Amino acid sequence: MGSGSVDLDDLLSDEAVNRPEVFYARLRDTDPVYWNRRWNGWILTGYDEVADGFRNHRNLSSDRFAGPFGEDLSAVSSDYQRLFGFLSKFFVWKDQPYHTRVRSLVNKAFTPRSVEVLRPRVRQLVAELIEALRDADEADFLAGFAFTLPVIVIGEYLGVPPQGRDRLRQWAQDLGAVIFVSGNDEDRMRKGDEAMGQLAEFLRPVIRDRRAQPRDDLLSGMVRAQDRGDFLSEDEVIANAILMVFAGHETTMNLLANGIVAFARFPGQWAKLRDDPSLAATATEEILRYDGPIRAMARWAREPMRSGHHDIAAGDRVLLVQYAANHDPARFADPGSVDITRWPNKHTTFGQGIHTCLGAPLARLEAQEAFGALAAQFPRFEIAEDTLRYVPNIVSRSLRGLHVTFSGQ
Amino acid sequence: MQQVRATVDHDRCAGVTLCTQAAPGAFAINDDGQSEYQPGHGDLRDLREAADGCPMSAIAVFADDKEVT
Repeated sequence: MGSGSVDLDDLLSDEAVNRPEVFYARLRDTDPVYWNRRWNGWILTGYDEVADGFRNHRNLSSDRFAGPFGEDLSAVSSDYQRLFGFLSKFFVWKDQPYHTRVRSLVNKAFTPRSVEVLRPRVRQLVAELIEALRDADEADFLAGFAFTLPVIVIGEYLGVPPQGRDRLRQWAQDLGAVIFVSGNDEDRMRKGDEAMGQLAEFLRPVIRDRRAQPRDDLLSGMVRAQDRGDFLSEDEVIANAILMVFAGHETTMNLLANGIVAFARFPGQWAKLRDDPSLAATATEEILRYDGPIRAMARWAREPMRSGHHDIAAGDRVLLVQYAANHDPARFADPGSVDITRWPNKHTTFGQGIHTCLGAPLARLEAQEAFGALAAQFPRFEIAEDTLRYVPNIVSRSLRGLHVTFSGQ
Repeated sequence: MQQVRATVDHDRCAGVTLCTQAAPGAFAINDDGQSEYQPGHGDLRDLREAADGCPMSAIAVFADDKEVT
Protein backbone atom coordinates (compact mmCIF):
# COMPACT_ATOMS: atom_id res chain seq x y z
CA MET A 1 0.00 0.00 0.00
CA GLY A 2 1.40 3.39 -0.95
CA SER A 3 1.52 6.28 1.45
CA GLY A 4 -0.92 8.16 -0.78
CA SER A 5 -3.87 6.64 1.04
CA VAL A 6 -2.62 7.69 4.47
CA ASP A 7 -3.04 11.26 5.66
CA LEU A 8 0.28 12.14 7.31
CA ASP A 9 -1.34 15.18 8.91
CA ASP A 10 -3.93 13.10 10.77
CA LEU A 11 -2.42 12.17 14.13
CA LEU A 12 -5.70 10.49 15.13
CA SER A 13 -6.19 8.30 12.06
CA ASP A 14 -6.83 4.61 12.63
CA GLU A 15 -3.26 3.84 11.60
CA ALA A 16 -1.75 6.56 13.82
CA VAL A 17 -3.74 5.41 16.84
CA ASN A 18 -3.68 1.64 16.41
CA ARG A 19 -0.51 0.99 14.37
CA PRO A 20 1.85 3.74 15.50
CA GLU A 21 4.97 1.78 14.48
CA VAL A 22 3.79 1.93 10.85
CA PHE A 23 2.49 5.49 10.97
CA TYR A 24 5.49 7.08 12.68
CA ALA A 25 7.95 5.18 10.44
CA ARG A 26 6.13 6.69 7.47
CA LEU A 27 6.42 10.14 9.00
CA ARG A 28 10.09 9.67 9.90
CA ASP A 29 10.89 8.43 6.37
CA THR A 30 9.13 11.45 4.88
CA ASP A 31 10.85 13.92 7.20
CA PRO A 32 11.92 13.43 10.84
CA VAL A 33 10.94 17.08 11.35
CA TYR A 34 7.59 17.32 9.64
CA TRP A 35 5.23 20.29 9.46
CA ASN A 36 1.73 19.10 10.30
CA ARG A 37 -0.85 21.45 8.85
CA ARG A 38 -3.71 20.10 10.90
CA TRP A 39 -1.96 20.11 14.30
CA ASN A 40 -0.38 23.36 13.19
CA GLY A 41 3.09 22.46 14.42
CA TRP A 42 6.26 20.42 13.94
CA ILE A 43 6.19 16.65 14.50
CA LEU A 44 9.62 15.29 15.49
CA THR A 45 10.09 11.54 14.96
CA GLY A 46 13.87 11.00 14.70
CA TYR A 47 15.70 9.88 17.85
CA ASP A 48 18.30 12.65 17.74
CA GLU A 49 15.76 15.36 17.02
CA VAL A 50 13.47 14.20 19.86
CA ALA A 51 16.30 13.80 22.39
CA ASP A 52 17.76 17.21 21.44
CA GLY A 53 14.27 18.72 21.73
CA PHE A 54 13.88 17.41 25.28
CA ARG A 55 17.27 18.77 26.31
CA ASN A 56 16.74 22.15 24.71
CA HIS A 57 14.61 23.70 27.45
CA ARG A 58 16.02 27.14 26.64
CA ASN A 59 14.38 27.28 23.23
CA LEU A 60 11.53 24.84 23.77
CA SER A 61 9.09 25.84 26.48
CA SER A 62 6.92 23.52 28.57
CA ASP A 63 4.79 26.43 29.80
CA ARG A 64 1.12 25.63 29.16
CA PHE A 65 -0.03 28.99 30.41
CA ALA A 66 1.84 31.02 27.80
CA GLY A 67 2.44 30.79 24.07
CA PRO A 68 0.15 28.89 21.68
CA PHE A 69 -1.16 26.44 24.33
CA GLY A 70 -1.82 29.26 26.79
CA GLU A 71 -4.22 30.86 24.33
CA ASP A 72 -6.29 27.66 24.25
CA LEU A 73 -6.34 27.44 28.05
CA SER A 74 -7.08 31.06 28.87
CA ALA A 75 -10.35 30.78 26.95
CA VAL A 76 -11.66 28.29 29.53
CA SER A 77 -9.58 28.78 32.68
CA SER A 78 -11.75 31.45 34.32
CA ASP A 79 -14.71 29.04 34.37
CA TYR A 80 -12.78 26.37 36.26
CA GLN A 81 -10.72 28.23 38.81
CA ARG A 82 -9.99 25.37 41.20
CA LEU A 83 -8.75 23.21 38.36
CA PHE A 84 -6.57 25.84 36.76
CA GLY A 85 -5.44 27.35 40.05
CA PHE A 86 -3.64 24.12 40.88
CA LEU A 87 -2.73 23.14 37.32
CA SER A 88 -0.87 26.43 37.05
CA LYS A 89 1.32 25.34 39.98
CA PHE A 90 2.35 22.06 38.30
CA PHE A 91 6.07 22.42 37.78
CA VAL A 92 5.93 20.06 34.78
CA TRP A 93 4.21 22.84 32.86
CA LYS A 94 6.65 25.53 33.90
CA ASP A 95 10.05 26.72 32.74
CA GLN A 96 13.03 27.87 34.76
CA PRO A 97 13.33 29.32 37.34
CA TYR A 98 9.99 28.20 38.91
CA HIS A 99 10.39 24.68 37.55
CA THR A 100 13.91 24.34 38.89
CA ARG A 101 12.98 25.58 42.35
CA VAL A 102 9.95 23.33 42.84
CA ARG A 103 11.46 20.31 41.14
CA SER A 104 14.55 20.34 43.33
CA LEU A 105 12.45 20.72 46.48
CA VAL A 106 10.10 17.87 45.54
CA ASN A 107 13.06 15.79 44.46
CA LYS A 108 14.49 15.95 47.97
CA ALA A 109 11.48 13.97 49.16
CA PHE A 110 10.93 11.77 46.09
CA THR A 111 14.25 10.01 45.64
CA PRO A 112 15.11 6.56 44.25
CA ARG A 113 16.20 5.67 47.79
CA SER A 114 12.83 6.59 49.34
CA VAL A 115 11.10 4.68 46.52
CA GLU A 116 13.20 1.55 47.01
CA VAL A 117 11.87 1.31 50.58
CA LEU A 118 8.46 0.56 49.05
CA ARG A 119 9.61 -2.58 47.22
CA PRO A 120 8.48 -5.17 49.79
CA ARG A 121 5.05 -3.55 50.05
CA VAL A 122 4.70 -3.36 46.24
CA ARG A 123 5.68 -7.03 46.03
CA GLN A 124 2.98 -7.91 48.56
CA LEU A 125 0.32 -5.87 46.71
CA VAL A 126 1.27 -7.50 43.41
CA ALA A 127 0.94 -10.95 45.00
CA GLU A 128 -2.53 -10.07 46.32
CA LEU A 129 -3.73 -8.72 42.97
CA ILE A 130 -2.39 -11.78 41.17
CA GLU A 131 -4.66 -14.05 43.23
CA ALA A 132 -7.73 -12.42 41.71
CA LEU A 133 -6.31 -12.94 38.20
CA ARG A 134 -5.64 -16.61 38.86
CA ASP A 135 -9.29 -17.43 39.44
CA ALA A 136 -10.75 -15.36 36.64
CA ASP A 137 -11.57 -16.38 33.11
CA GLU A 138 -10.93 -13.34 30.91
CA ALA A 139 -9.82 -11.12 33.79
CA ASP A 140 -10.16 -7.37 33.37
CA PHE A 141 -6.44 -6.63 33.54
CA LEU A 142 -6.84 -2.85 33.27
CA ALA A 143 -9.30 -2.39 36.12
CA GLY A 144 -8.28 -5.35 38.28
CA PHE A 145 -4.53 -4.97 38.15
CA ALA A 146 -3.01 -2.22 36.04
CA PHE A 147 -5.16 0.62 37.44
CA THR A 148 -5.38 -0.68 41.00
CA LEU A 149 -1.71 -1.26 41.75
CA PRO A 150 -0.38 2.25 41.02
CA VAL A 151 -3.29 4.04 42.68
CA ILE A 152 -2.82 2.09 45.92
CA VAL A 153 0.95 2.55 45.82
CA ILE A 154 0.86 6.31 45.27
CA GLY A 155 -1.84 6.72 47.95
CA GLU A 156 0.24 4.86 50.51
CA TYR A 157 3.51 6.50 49.50
CA LEU A 158 2.02 9.98 49.80
CA GLY A 159 0.46 9.04 53.14
CA VAL A 160 -3.17 9.60 52.15
CA PRO A 161 -5.37 8.36 55.03
CA PRO A 162 -7.14 5.05 54.26
CA GLN A 163 -10.61 6.62 54.20
CA GLY A 164 -9.52 8.74 51.22
CA ARG A 165 -8.07 5.97 49.11
CA ASP A 166 -11.25 4.77 47.44
CA ARG A 167 -12.15 8.33 46.57
CA LEU A 168 -8.62 8.78 45.26
CA ARG A 169 -9.44 6.35 42.45
CA GLN A 170 -12.35 8.47 41.27
CA TRP A 171 -10.47 11.74 41.62
CA ALA A 172 -7.54 10.27 39.73
CA GLN A 173 -9.84 9.17 36.92
CA ASP A 174 -11.59 12.53 36.64
CA LEU A 175 -8.31 14.45 36.63
CA GLY A 176 -6.73 12.07 34.14
CA ALA A 177 -9.62 12.73 31.77
CA VAL A 178 -8.81 16.45 31.76
CA ILE A 179 -5.10 16.13 31.39
CA PHE A 180 -4.66 13.24 28.97
CA VAL A 181 -7.55 13.88 26.65
CA SER A 182 -7.37 16.69 24.13
CA GLY A 183 -10.28 19.05 23.61
CA ASN A 184 -12.18 20.93 26.28
CA ASP A 185 -15.60 19.36 26.59
CA GLU A 186 -17.64 20.95 29.31
CA ASP A 187 -18.67 17.91 31.32
CA ARG A 188 -15.12 16.66 31.60
CA MET A 189 -13.80 20.06 32.66
CA ARG A 190 -16.53 20.41 35.26
CA LYS A 191 -15.74 16.98 36.71
CA GLY A 192 -12.03 17.78 36.72
CA ASP A 193 -12.72 21.04 38.51
CA GLU A 194 -14.85 19.22 41.12
CA ALA A 195 -12.21 16.54 41.60
CA MET A 196 -9.45 19.11 41.97
CA GLY A 197 -11.41 21.08 44.56
CA GLN A 198 -12.37 18.01 46.59
CA LEU A 199 -8.93 16.46 46.48
CA ALA A 200 -7.30 19.75 47.54
CA GLU A 201 -9.65 20.18 50.50
CA PHE A 202 -9.15 16.54 51.47
CA LEU A 203 -5.37 16.95 51.42
CA ARG A 204 -5.13 20.34 53.15
CA PRO A 205 -5.83 19.15 56.74
CA VAL A 206 -3.65 16.08 56.19
CA ILE A 207 -0.73 18.30 55.17
CA ARG A 208 -1.28 20.55 58.21
CA ASP A 209 -1.24 17.47 60.39
CA ARG A 210 2.04 16.30 58.83
CA ARG A 211 3.56 19.71 59.45
CA ALA A 212 2.78 19.33 63.16
CA GLN A 213 3.56 15.61 63.35
CA PRO A 214 5.79 14.40 60.52
CA ARG A 215 5.54 10.77 59.48
CA ASP A 216 7.60 8.62 57.19
CA ASP A 217 5.64 9.50 54.05
CA LEU A 218 5.97 11.70 50.98
CA LEU A 219 3.57 14.41 52.19
CA SER A 220 5.74 14.86 55.29
CA GLY A 221 8.83 14.79 53.08
CA MET A 222 7.48 17.58 50.87
CA VAL A 223 6.46 19.66 53.89
CA ARG A 224 9.96 19.31 55.35
CA ALA A 225 11.93 19.67 52.12
CA GLN A 226 14.04 22.80 52.14
CA ASP A 227 16.71 24.36 50.04
CA ARG A 228 18.74 27.12 51.70
CA GLY A 229 15.77 28.30 53.77
CA ASP A 230 13.22 27.95 50.95
CA PHE A 231 10.20 25.65 51.47
CA LEU A 232 7.18 24.60 49.40
CA SER A 233 4.02 26.52 50.30
CA GLU A 234 0.92 24.63 51.43
CA ASP A 235 -0.73 25.09 48.03
CA GLU A 236 2.45 23.91 46.31
CA VAL A 237 2.51 20.73 48.40
CA ILE A 238 -1.16 20.16 47.50
CA ALA A 239 -0.51 20.81 43.80
CA ASN A 240 2.42 18.40 43.77
CA ALA A 241 0.52 15.70 45.63
CA ILE A 242 -2.28 16.01 43.06
CA LEU A 243 0.25 15.94 40.24
CA MET A 244 1.59 12.66 41.60
CA VAL A 245 -1.87 11.15 41.94
CA PHE A 246 -2.80 11.63 38.32
CA ALA A 247 0.68 11.37 36.80
CA GLY A 248 1.40 8.24 38.81
CA HIS A 249 -1.61 6.15 38.00
CA GLU A 250 -2.60 6.51 34.35
CA THR A 251 0.92 6.24 33.00
CA THR A 252 1.87 3.23 35.11
CA MET A 253 -1.44 1.55 34.26
CA ASN A 254 -0.67 1.91 30.56
CA LEU A 255 2.89 0.69 31.03
CA LEU A 256 1.66 -2.51 32.70
CA ALA A 257 -1.07 -3.11 30.11
CA ASN A 258 1.17 -2.35 27.11
CA GLY A 259 3.76 -4.71 28.58
CA ILE A 260 1.29 -7.59 28.66
CA VAL A 261 0.45 -6.95 24.99
CA ALA A 262 4.16 -6.81 24.11
CA PHE A 263 4.87 -10.11 25.88
CA ALA A 264 1.87 -11.71 24.14
CA ARG A 265 3.56 -10.86 20.83
CA PHE A 266 6.91 -12.20 22.01
CA PRO A 267 6.16 -15.23 24.20
CA GLY A 268 9.79 -16.34 24.07
CA GLN A 269 10.72 -13.19 26.00
CA TRP A 270 8.07 -14.00 28.64
CA ALA A 271 9.60 -17.47 29.07
CA LYS A 272 13.04 -15.91 29.33
CA LEU A 273 11.91 -13.57 32.11
CA ARG A 274 10.24 -16.51 33.87
CA ASP A 275 13.51 -18.46 33.73
CA ASP A 276 15.60 -15.55 34.94
CA PRO A 277 13.82 -13.08 37.26
CA SER A 278 16.99 -10.96 37.44
CA LEU A 279 16.05 -9.72 33.94
CA ALA A 280 13.04 -7.80 35.34
CA ALA A 281 14.96 -4.49 35.33
CA THR A 282 16.16 -4.62 31.71
CA ALA A 283 12.81 -6.14 30.65
CA THR A 284 11.06 -3.11 32.12
CA GLU A 285 13.35 -0.74 30.18
CA GLU A 286 12.58 -2.67 27.00
CA ILE A 287 8.82 -2.44 27.54
CA LEU A 288 9.23 1.29 28.22
CA ARG A 289 11.02 1.57 24.89
CA TYR A 290 8.88 -0.77 22.82
CA ASP A 291 5.48 0.51 23.92
CA GLY A 292 5.66 3.03 26.73
CA PRO A 293 2.61 4.77 28.17
CA ILE A 294 3.37 8.13 26.55
CA ARG A 295 3.42 8.63 22.79
CA ALA A 296 4.54 12.23 22.71
CA MET A 297 5.02 15.45 24.66
CA ALA A 298 4.23 18.91 23.36
CA ARG A 299 6.45 21.98 23.58
CA TRP A 300 6.49 25.38 21.92
CA ALA A 301 9.42 27.42 20.67
CA ARG A 302 10.09 30.37 22.93
CA GLU A 303 13.10 31.24 20.74
CA PRO A 304 13.73 30.35 17.10
CA MET A 305 15.76 27.17 16.65
CA ARG A 306 16.96 24.62 14.14
CA SER A 307 15.86 20.97 14.03
CA GLY A 308 16.80 18.57 11.25
CA HIS A 309 16.73 20.61 8.05
CA HIS A 310 14.19 23.11 9.31
CA ASP A 311 14.05 26.47 10.98
CA ILE A 312 11.50 26.48 13.77
CA ALA A 313 10.08 29.93 14.42
CA ALA A 314 9.32 31.51 17.78
CA GLY A 315 5.77 30.59 18.79
CA ASP A 316 5.66 27.33 16.78
CA ARG A 317 4.26 24.19 18.39
CA VAL A 318 6.62 21.21 18.55
CA LEU A 319 5.56 17.62 19.26
CA LEU A 320 8.34 15.33 20.52
CA VAL A 321 7.18 11.83 19.56
CA GLN A 322 8.83 9.49 22.04
CA TYR A 323 7.25 6.39 20.54
CA ALA A 324 8.83 7.24 17.18
CA ALA A 325 12.25 8.03 18.68
CA ASN A 326 12.16 4.71 20.54
CA HIS A 327 11.57 2.89 17.24
CA ASP A 328 14.17 4.77 15.20
CA PRO A 329 16.31 2.10 13.49
CA ALA A 330 19.21 4.57 13.40
CA ARG A 331 19.35 4.30 17.20
CA PHE A 332 17.95 0.86 18.10
CA ALA A 333 18.81 -2.40 16.33
CA ASP A 334 15.66 -4.26 15.28
CA PRO A 335 13.39 -1.74 17.03
CA GLY A 336 10.19 -3.67 16.26
CA SER A 337 11.30 -6.65 18.38
CA VAL A 338 11.23 -7.00 22.14
CA ASP A 339 14.58 -8.05 23.58
CA ILE A 340 14.47 -8.03 27.37
CA THR A 341 18.27 -8.12 27.58
CA ARG A 342 18.70 -4.97 25.46
CA TRP A 343 21.31 -2.72 27.10
CA PRO A 344 22.15 0.11 26.89
CA ASN A 345 18.59 1.14 26.22
CA LYS A 346 18.36 4.91 26.21
CA HIS A 347 14.72 5.23 25.32
CA THR A 348 13.05 8.62 25.55
CA THR A 349 9.96 7.45 27.43
CA PHE A 350 10.78 9.40 30.59
CA GLY A 351 12.00 12.34 28.52
CA GLN A 352 15.49 13.79 28.77
CA GLY A 353 16.87 16.94 30.37
CA ILE A 354 15.41 19.00 33.19
CA HIS A 355 11.85 17.69 32.77
CA THR A 356 12.83 14.01 32.94
CA CYS A 357 10.08 12.10 34.77
CA LEU A 358 10.36 12.56 38.52
CA GLY A 359 8.35 9.38 39.05
CA ALA A 360 10.63 7.20 36.92
CA PRO A 361 12.05 5.25 39.89
CA LEU A 362 8.53 4.43 41.14
CA ALA A 363 7.22 3.44 37.69
CA ARG A 364 10.26 1.21 37.20
CA LEU A 365 9.85 -0.44 40.57
CA GLU A 366 6.13 -1.18 40.05
CA ALA A 367 6.70 -2.57 36.55
CA GLN A 368 9.68 -4.69 37.61
CA GLU A 369 7.70 -6.23 40.44
CA ALA A 370 4.57 -6.73 38.33
CA PHE A 371 6.20 -8.26 35.24
CA GLY A 372 8.55 -10.39 37.34
CA ALA A 373 5.77 -11.83 39.52
CA LEU A 374 3.29 -12.33 36.66
CA ALA A 375 5.88 -14.24 34.63
CA ALA A 376 6.81 -16.32 37.67
CA GLN A 377 3.16 -17.22 38.40
CA PHE A 378 1.79 -17.73 34.89
CA PRO A 379 3.76 -19.62 32.26
CA ARG A 380 1.14 -18.73 29.66
CA PHE A 381 -1.57 -16.18 29.10
CA GLU A 382 -3.91 -15.26 26.33
CA ILE A 383 -5.36 -11.89 25.40
CA ALA A 384 -9.14 -12.15 25.23
CA GLU A 385 -9.84 -9.22 22.91
CA ASP A 386 -10.84 -9.65 19.26
CA THR A 387 -9.01 -6.49 18.32
CA LEU A 388 -6.91 -4.28 20.55
CA ARG A 389 -8.16 -0.72 20.36
CA TYR A 390 -6.36 2.33 21.67
CA VAL A 391 -7.80 5.61 22.90
CA PRO A 392 -7.54 8.14 20.05
CA ASN A 393 -5.13 10.53 21.70
CA ILE A 394 -1.96 12.29 20.59
CA VAL A 395 -0.05 12.09 23.86
CA SER A 396 -0.91 8.80 25.57
CA ARG A 397 -0.76 5.19 24.48
CA SER A 398 -3.75 3.86 26.26
CA LEU A 399 -5.78 0.68 25.60
CA ARG A 400 -9.56 0.91 25.65
CA GLY A 401 -9.77 -2.50 27.28
CA LEU A 402 -7.57 -5.50 28.07
CA HIS A 403 -9.05 -8.81 29.16
CA VAL A 404 -6.59 -11.60 29.73
CA THR A 405 -6.82 -15.26 30.68
CA PHE A 406 -3.79 -16.26 32.72
CA SER A 407 -2.89 -19.95 33.00
CA GLY A 408 -1.26 -21.42 36.07
CA GLN A 409 1.17 -24.31 36.23
CA MET B 1 42.61 12.59 54.21
CA GLN B 2 39.82 10.64 52.57
CA GLN B 3 39.80 10.68 48.76
CA VAL B 4 36.29 11.12 47.41
CA ARG B 5 35.14 10.95 43.80
CA ALA B 6 32.05 10.19 41.75
CA THR B 7 31.24 8.55 38.44
CA VAL B 8 28.33 9.13 36.07
CA ASP B 9 26.99 6.19 34.06
CA HIS B 10 26.19 7.62 30.65
CA ASP B 11 24.05 4.59 29.78
CA ARG B 12 21.66 5.93 32.43
CA CYS B 13 22.19 9.71 32.62
CA ALA B 14 19.32 11.66 31.07
CA GLY B 15 20.82 15.10 31.64
CA VAL B 16 18.33 15.96 34.39
CA THR B 17 20.91 18.39 35.91
CA LEU B 18 19.75 17.97 39.52
CA CYS B 19 23.28 16.84 40.42
CA THR B 20 24.66 20.24 39.37
CA GLN B 21 22.43 21.82 42.04
CA ALA B 22 22.97 19.20 44.75
CA ALA B 23 26.75 19.36 44.47
CA PRO B 24 27.68 22.74 42.99
CA GLY B 25 30.89 22.59 40.95
CA ALA B 26 31.17 18.80 41.07
CA PHE B 27 29.17 18.06 37.91
CA ALA B 28 28.96 19.78 34.53
CA ILE B 29 26.73 19.07 31.55
CA ASN B 30 28.69 18.27 28.37
CA ASP B 31 27.74 19.01 24.74
CA ASP B 32 25.75 15.77 24.54
CA GLY B 33 23.60 16.85 27.49
CA GLN B 34 25.28 14.33 29.80
CA SER B 35 26.54 15.03 33.28
CA GLU B 36 30.27 14.62 33.90
CA TYR B 37 32.03 14.51 37.23
CA GLN B 38 34.63 17.23 37.70
CA PRO B 39 37.56 15.59 39.51
CA GLY B 40 38.62 17.22 42.74
CA HIS B 41 35.29 18.94 43.35
CA GLY B 42 32.53 18.30 45.88
CA ASP B 43 32.66 16.93 49.40
CA LEU B 44 31.29 13.56 50.42
CA ARG B 45 28.01 14.99 51.71
CA ASP B 46 27.19 16.89 48.51
CA LEU B 47 28.23 14.01 46.25
CA ARG B 48 26.02 11.61 48.18
CA GLU B 49 23.11 14.01 47.96
CA ALA B 50 23.63 14.18 44.19
CA ALA B 51 23.74 10.38 43.94
CA ASP B 52 20.69 9.87 46.17
CA GLY B 53 18.68 12.47 44.28
CA CYS B 54 19.47 11.26 40.75
CA PRO B 55 16.18 9.92 39.33
CA MET B 56 18.11 7.80 36.85
CA SER B 57 20.43 6.30 39.54
CA ALA B 58 23.34 7.22 37.29
CA ILE B 59 25.79 8.46 39.95
CA ALA B 60 28.11 6.36 42.11
CA VAL B 61 30.25 7.82 44.88
CA PHE B 62 33.55 6.42 46.09
CA ALA B 63 35.54 7.15 49.24
CA ASP B 64 39.11 5.85 49.11
CA ASP B 65 38.05 3.80 46.06
CA LYS B 66 35.29 2.02 47.95
CA GLU B 67 31.73 2.64 46.76
CA VAL B 68 29.60 4.50 49.28
CA THR B 69 25.95 3.45 49.33
